[in-house]
Amino acid sequence: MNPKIYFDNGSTSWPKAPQVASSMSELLESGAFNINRGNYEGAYELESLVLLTRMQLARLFHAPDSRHVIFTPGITYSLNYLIKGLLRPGDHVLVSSLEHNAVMRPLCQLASQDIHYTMIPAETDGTTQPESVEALIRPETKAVIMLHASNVCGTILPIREIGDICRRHHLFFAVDTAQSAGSVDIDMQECNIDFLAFTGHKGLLGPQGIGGFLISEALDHELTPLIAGGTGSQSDSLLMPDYLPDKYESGTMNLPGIIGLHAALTYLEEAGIPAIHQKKMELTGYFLKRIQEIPQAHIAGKQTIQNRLAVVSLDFPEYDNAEIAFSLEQDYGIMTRVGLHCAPMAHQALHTMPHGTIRFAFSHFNTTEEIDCCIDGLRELFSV
Amino acid sequence: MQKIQHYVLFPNHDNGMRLYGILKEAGIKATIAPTPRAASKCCGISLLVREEDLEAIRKFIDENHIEILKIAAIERDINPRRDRYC
Repeated sequence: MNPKIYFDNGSTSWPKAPQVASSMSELLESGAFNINRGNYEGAYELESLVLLTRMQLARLFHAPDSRHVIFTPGITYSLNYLIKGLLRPGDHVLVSSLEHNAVMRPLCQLASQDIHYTMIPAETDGTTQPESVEALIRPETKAVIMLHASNVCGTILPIREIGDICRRHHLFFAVDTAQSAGSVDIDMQECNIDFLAFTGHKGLLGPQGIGGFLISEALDHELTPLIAGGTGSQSDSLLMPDYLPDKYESGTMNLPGIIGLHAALTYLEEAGIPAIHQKKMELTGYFLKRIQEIPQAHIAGKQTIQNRLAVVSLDFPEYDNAEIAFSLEQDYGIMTRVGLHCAPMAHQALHTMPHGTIRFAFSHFNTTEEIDCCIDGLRELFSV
Repeated sequence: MQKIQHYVLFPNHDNGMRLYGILKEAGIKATIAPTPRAASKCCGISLLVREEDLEAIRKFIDENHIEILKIAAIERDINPRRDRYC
């Protein structure tokens, strides 16, 4: 039996950062009290950890203030809060051609309410030219919503340049950092980002079920909270508080998730994101080099490590990609993700629709030996 | 004997915890407590502080943009020694 090799870090990271599991377990065993409600020392101590976690996220994304950090169950929820809380009939938004269904499905739900979108074109390797954005802006355009890096091919989008365009045209700018957070530096203020959606369980190495968004002052004034309920504050009023973070955080919070994320962020601060990113890119470069040994494999997207993350999609045009992924797992213990990766528009742009690709997404816990195992397995499968 | 206690009141827990952390770091004594119902309808936390620290606390509030409702001086309601004569 081969040891298992995990190359599905684009879906969720594994292993998680050290201390994530133990911190969550300790919380649940020693007193998982309810913050913003309980009036006792144990609850106050947890509130202080939640505040520390907000501060870590504010530092990570260069937010003006930790009050602008809002917790949600993840990016999909965050993007729904944005799209459904901001857009009104007659509004128009621009999205990239590589969007995930976390953006496309909420937008398509709103089509019947006279809310429309236009896609910014992408080249066949996922490259998006900022110059193409301005011509697409209409008088009724309210925002640009885009991912920072493709979850299919890893191509990084030019958020700094597009942020500049948004600033000049007074458009809100929303960025989905699902693949990039924890890998590259993201400066919310320098890139003029009004809404930065993040998840805790991918590059940030935390547990599933915790994520959130960071919001600018200007967007906060325009955004209606999608969920209303108890916040533990201003309880004499039947209206939602209008201050942050309470305005967007109704109901009991995911404390185990936040405590796990706190442990993960502490690990990232100590290990250093640039060092982690460098290791991931070395592995990606090694994989891209060795995959040349398999003539049947076609890389969807960028062929080199320039302007990309550690996410690589392979297409085997003469074969069924699902069958290859199945063999990799069954015969060599290699875990990948095959299909459309919830991003049909990206596959359209990359010309891999409808058959999809096999995605290999590396973490800094992976090794070159594991990549060797994968390439050797593919060589054996294709007799090369 | 009546005792006046000083409470910093907040619109929410986040601001209370922020000020608590700042005061702790500065070595100023503050105790987290439920908001006295006599002081505010707003439930949540307050910080019980010493009168002699009030000026410094106001300065920290301004410098760090902490949102507060007010600083309330409240007569202590519970006196365990009440009606005890020995």
